[in-house]
Amino acid sequence: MPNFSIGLSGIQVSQRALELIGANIANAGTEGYHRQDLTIVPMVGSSADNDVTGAEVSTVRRAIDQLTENQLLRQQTLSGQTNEELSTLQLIESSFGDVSANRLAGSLEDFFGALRQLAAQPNSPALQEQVIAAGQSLGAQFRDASAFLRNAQEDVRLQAEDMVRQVNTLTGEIADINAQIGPAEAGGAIAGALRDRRGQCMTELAALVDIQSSGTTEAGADQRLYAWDIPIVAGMNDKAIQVGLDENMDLGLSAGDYDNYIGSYRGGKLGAMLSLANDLLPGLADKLDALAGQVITEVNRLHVQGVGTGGSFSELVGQAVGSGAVSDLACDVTAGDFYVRVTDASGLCVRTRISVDPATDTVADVVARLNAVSNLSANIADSCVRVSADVGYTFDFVPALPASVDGGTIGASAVQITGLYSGSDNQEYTFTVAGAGTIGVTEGLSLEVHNEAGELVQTFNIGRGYASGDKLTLSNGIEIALGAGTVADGDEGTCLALANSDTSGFLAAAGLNVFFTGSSAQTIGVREDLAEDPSLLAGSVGQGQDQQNIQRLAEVGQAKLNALGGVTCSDYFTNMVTNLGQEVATRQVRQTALDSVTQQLENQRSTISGVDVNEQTIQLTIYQRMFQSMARFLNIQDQTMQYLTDIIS
Amino acid sequence: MSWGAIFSNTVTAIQRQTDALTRLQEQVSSGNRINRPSDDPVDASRIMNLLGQDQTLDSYLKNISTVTTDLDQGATTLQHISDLLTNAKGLLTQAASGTYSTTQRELVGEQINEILEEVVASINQESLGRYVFSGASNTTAPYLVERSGDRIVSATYQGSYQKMPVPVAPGVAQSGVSVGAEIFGCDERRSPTFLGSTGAAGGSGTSSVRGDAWLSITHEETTLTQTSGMPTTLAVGASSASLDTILGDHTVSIDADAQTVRLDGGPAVSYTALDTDLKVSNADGDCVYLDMSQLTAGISGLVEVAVHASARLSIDDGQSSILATFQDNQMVTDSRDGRVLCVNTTGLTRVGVEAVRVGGTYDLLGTLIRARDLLNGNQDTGDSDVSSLLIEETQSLEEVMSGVMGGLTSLGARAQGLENLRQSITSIQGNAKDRASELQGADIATIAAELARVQTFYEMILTSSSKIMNMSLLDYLR
Repeated sequence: MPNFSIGLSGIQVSQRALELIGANIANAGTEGYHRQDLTIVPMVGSSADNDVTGAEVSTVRRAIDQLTENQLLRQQTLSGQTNEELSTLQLIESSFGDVSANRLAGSLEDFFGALRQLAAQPNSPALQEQVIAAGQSLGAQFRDASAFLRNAQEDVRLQAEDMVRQVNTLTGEIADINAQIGPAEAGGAIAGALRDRRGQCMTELAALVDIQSSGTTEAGADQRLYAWDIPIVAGMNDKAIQVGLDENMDLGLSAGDYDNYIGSYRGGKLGAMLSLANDLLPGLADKLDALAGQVITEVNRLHVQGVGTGGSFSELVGQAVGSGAVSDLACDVTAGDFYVRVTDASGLCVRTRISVDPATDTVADVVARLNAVSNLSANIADSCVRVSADVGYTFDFVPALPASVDGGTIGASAVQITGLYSGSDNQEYTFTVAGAGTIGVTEGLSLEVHNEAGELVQTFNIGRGYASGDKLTLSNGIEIALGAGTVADGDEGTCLALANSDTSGFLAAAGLNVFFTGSSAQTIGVREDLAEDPSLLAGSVGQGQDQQNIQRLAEVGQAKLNALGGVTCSDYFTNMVTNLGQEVATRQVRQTALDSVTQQLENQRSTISGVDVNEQTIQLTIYQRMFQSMARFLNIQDQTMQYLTDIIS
Repeated sequence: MSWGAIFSNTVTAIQRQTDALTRLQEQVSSGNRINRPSDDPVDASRIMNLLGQDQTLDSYLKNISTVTTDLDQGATTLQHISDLLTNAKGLLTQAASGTYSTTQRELVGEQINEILEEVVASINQESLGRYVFSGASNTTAPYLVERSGDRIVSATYQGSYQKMPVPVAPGVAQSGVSVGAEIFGCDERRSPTFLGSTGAAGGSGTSSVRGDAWLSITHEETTLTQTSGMPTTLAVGASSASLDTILGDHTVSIDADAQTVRLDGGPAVSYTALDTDLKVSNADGDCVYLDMSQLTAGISGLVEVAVHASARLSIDDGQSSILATFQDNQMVTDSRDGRVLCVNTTGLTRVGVEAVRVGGTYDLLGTLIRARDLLNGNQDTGDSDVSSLLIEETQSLEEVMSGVMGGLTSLGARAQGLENLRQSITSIQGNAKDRASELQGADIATIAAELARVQTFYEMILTSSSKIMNMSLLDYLR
């Protein structure tokens, strides 16, 4: 008997196949689409000989390789982080300028170069102006760079918030799809479209965060997803995450229900944001601040010790520092001393040592000590330290040598001290007479010079052969001249030679006679009254008649600073910028490698899951022929039946 | 192969080649292989260091130029002064020959005065807002001159004794300015020479006066003590305090029988009891005034009386003085500057003014002033003394000329050293620039070849993609 059911099954199978091929070709260009293949199995009859009674579609399968899919998701996470870090770091690298036209490096060289030139003509108003202008330019470059980094940090925070919104949207969508997958696959069918859509969401999610799944990513409605260790999807439920600041003020992520922000997550674009916000950008900002801080500290440390061409001061007003603990000042203060010198109209100087201990002192304590100095007034007004001298007096903090030894004489000999001390430490020298007699007359009379440790530094003949009043020069630049007179064995005088008249750093921290104001790249600037009157530039450590301080300031540019790791300011900045360049270059290489791997994985996925139109066309031809054949088969069956009917009738 | 994979591969390949083309195009347009540190961090670091070095060296070169200008200015001035001094020395040599009349000497004095004015003007010449002989105080004229009428009577160095080292290379500093007191003064102190006849000599101590000093030795008081003969009284005359010229120990011999009196065995001077202020001189012309009316009446024979005349010493024109103690070292202080002259006063015999010369301590302007004053007769000296003193001043002038020439040589040596340094720094700077340019610069030939290669790949990708995507089985199915 003719069997119509065989033909019917064949037509049904070919129709289903043609539908799937149509759907595959229609989605050949659809992102994330997985080709669907059907499995055809023969229909077996119920008779004992198991005759094949047709064909049927056994399964419709999504062409998917789970390992490849998982690898691609992981690549998305790695790529997302690298891409985001790269683009931000490239932006910052560009902000520092070209290699050959680096603005901040140029400004550093300009500033110290201007100081160097001023050392040649310390009283030149034009060169003084040049130093001020170079200082202002340097300050502006620091502030610009700092502002750029701060803005970048703010942009990162805003981007992180936006990304968190994207994550939450995607997790919501995944949860919705999970809710639909259950019913759709209840009858054993594969909800391919839903799964593809969910896979696409997960791909986008993986680019944002490092996603972890409790099972395979192809799980059904019971899928559980985590962003790092934060649960974000539990089957049909999604859990929002939020961005905020942790206890260290670092940017962090937390599950929506808790305020437990963690900033150490890495991976994906959001991980890149945390890395940029908490490590990379603050690291750069810290380095920039360290550099600016050192420039401020080193320049101010010397500038406070000098005077301008106008000589000593009648009044100085510092920066706003308040009256609180010295240890709270923006610039570091260490336990030490500073020396204030008060000079009367006749030129007589009295030097007073003020001790500072940041462990116990407040600014008010130190100001009170200054105020106790004769002919000097000091107070805190509007949070600023103000120091003024009585009428007829001036003051300064210069490390100039005293005019004579303590007491003015050694024995009956009037002593004059001149010169510029070139030693590196503060030292009290003692000048002791060996022998007794008349200076310039007595044979064998000598003057011994001892340092604080009691070591003999030098011995001079002051007896016959020494012309009283002639200068005796120590190897460290101190000159001593003894007047005529008699001396006894053991007569002595002392002289304090200062290399640094503020070992505590208090004057710089208080902003008294500083060059730069501020304490970081964000706040650095040239002192306002100095900018208006460049003659206040403290180039001298005497009475405005030497340029030693200008030289000392200029040498800062070439000095290898311990606080910067033993390199110069310029080298530190060069290292900082080239390290940034190295970070960018490393990410570029990593990005290229990741792109290459991603490309290979996508090719692999495309091979497994993609739609080859030619292949589908061949399939189309096969099933079309199958359909035609089965139709012909039915036609023959029908004709056969007709013959049989005709015979019967 | 799926269409998606074909598209994806094509897009990726095109992007890669486009990136390469963009980078090459940037290199061509900028001329640089490295524009940002990430292009080549290691070479970028080198380039930045080299460019920084270039900028630093530039500031050193500017300083070398400034210092060289100062040195040149100083050398020009010193050469001019040297010429003037040669002229002055010639004039002094002629004037010291003893053939010039007072008028002729005064004319030479005027010429010396003009030279002095020109020397002062040259030393105090300001150049580009700086004084090159004031040491570190280069905004202050080196010498402050004091005038009496229109004449310079003194010149005091008011500059700094410190030089002004200017950084001219890493760790190297050179001063363009000089300390005028060092160049125009000598500091090779020798023992003082006393040019006079008072009997004063150099003491055993070390004098600190500089240049020439005038030691004024005046009479203070004469005391008499009888040493032999009949007991006698004798007193000094009324003019003794002011007019006695003897100093130290002398002897008055009275021949009572002959009614004569002698000083140190000198010429006998007759006396009477009415002589109350009798001038008695010795063979050297030194005198003492005696009151013979006090002589004891009725004496006879030879009576000898010891005479001691005390003295006062001064080296500051009488502003301060001390009593002579007739010792081998007496320190006379100049109250104006505290400097000391050590005098051996044991041989003092008469009052007078000693010209004291301290060789090796002369200063240029002081020497010219003294020479002019000598020629103009401003010093209390006779013609023969003027000649000898002028010879001395000529020697002083030679000393200071030697200092000036030494200064000139020193400036020349410093200028030459700086020129060598300038050439060295310029060479280093050139090398740094070349090296930076070499590291940073793009090799156009290499870029052109690379550009052609990338362009070829780009076209190949487009062509192959086009062919692959054009092929379809559908074209063959009918």
